[in-house]
Amino acid sequence: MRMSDINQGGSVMKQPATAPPESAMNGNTLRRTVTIVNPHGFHMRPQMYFAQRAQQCQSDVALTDGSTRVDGKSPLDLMMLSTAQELTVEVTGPDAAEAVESLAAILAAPSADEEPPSPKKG
Amino acid sequence: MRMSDFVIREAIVPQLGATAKEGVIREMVESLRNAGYFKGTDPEDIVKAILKRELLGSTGIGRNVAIPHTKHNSVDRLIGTVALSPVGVAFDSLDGEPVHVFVLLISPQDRPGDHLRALENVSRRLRDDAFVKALRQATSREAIWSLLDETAPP
Repeated sequence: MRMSDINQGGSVMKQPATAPPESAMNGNTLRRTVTIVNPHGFHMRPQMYFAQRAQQCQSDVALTDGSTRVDGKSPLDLMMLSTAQELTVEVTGPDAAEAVESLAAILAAPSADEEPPSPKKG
Repeated sequence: MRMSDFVIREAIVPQLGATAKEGVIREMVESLRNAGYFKGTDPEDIVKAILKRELLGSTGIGRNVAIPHTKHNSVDRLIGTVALSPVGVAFDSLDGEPVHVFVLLISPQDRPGDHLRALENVSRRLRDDAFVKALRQATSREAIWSLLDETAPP
């Protein structure tokens, strides 16, 4: 598992180009930018794992490729980023610290078969 | 990209007869076969591949839609079809809801990019509630094709 451009706290190396400030941003927002290394890309299986994990969060979850920013809890929204090769996950809320790590791990997984344990089992 | 770029018009199923997961998938594959695809291939092989993918995780992504798919060497470009179920089909969807709109995608073995681009295109359309509503109200292949031939809003 590899991650690139890991950001700590609220500072970011890459600002989504057109993302407006969101009302939730005054909370505890954490971001991770991840390069997609799965040879199948950001396909439906990691999208579903991501959405399921995001839905477990109390926090708001967004995912962006730098120009399109979507609700991380919606599989259909996530699918709009299927061809992205680099994605930034943004988590805002009380469980952001734990959530951002596990969501970034899903994005960074080299294979859907090596996904972290399903949320239902974990 | 428009959905009409890869959906096979003659294989559209305006009203599915099947009401269960396996039957629906088989009906969609048969529809593509009747439209001239999968020559020299046992269609059951394709049905099995799609069902095998479903075992890894349902493609019922919620909001009454499902996007079953597989890669298969019997196609040299990505093809698909759209099928509608007025009664709804239990599909182990993420939100527990039945599926009324199916988009089946079959892509060549070695072109993941084509599949991902199609997923992006399909998702942009299916996120549009007005589009899905119009699809579900369509009763003919021609009406469905006309909707698929529209471009997604920016």
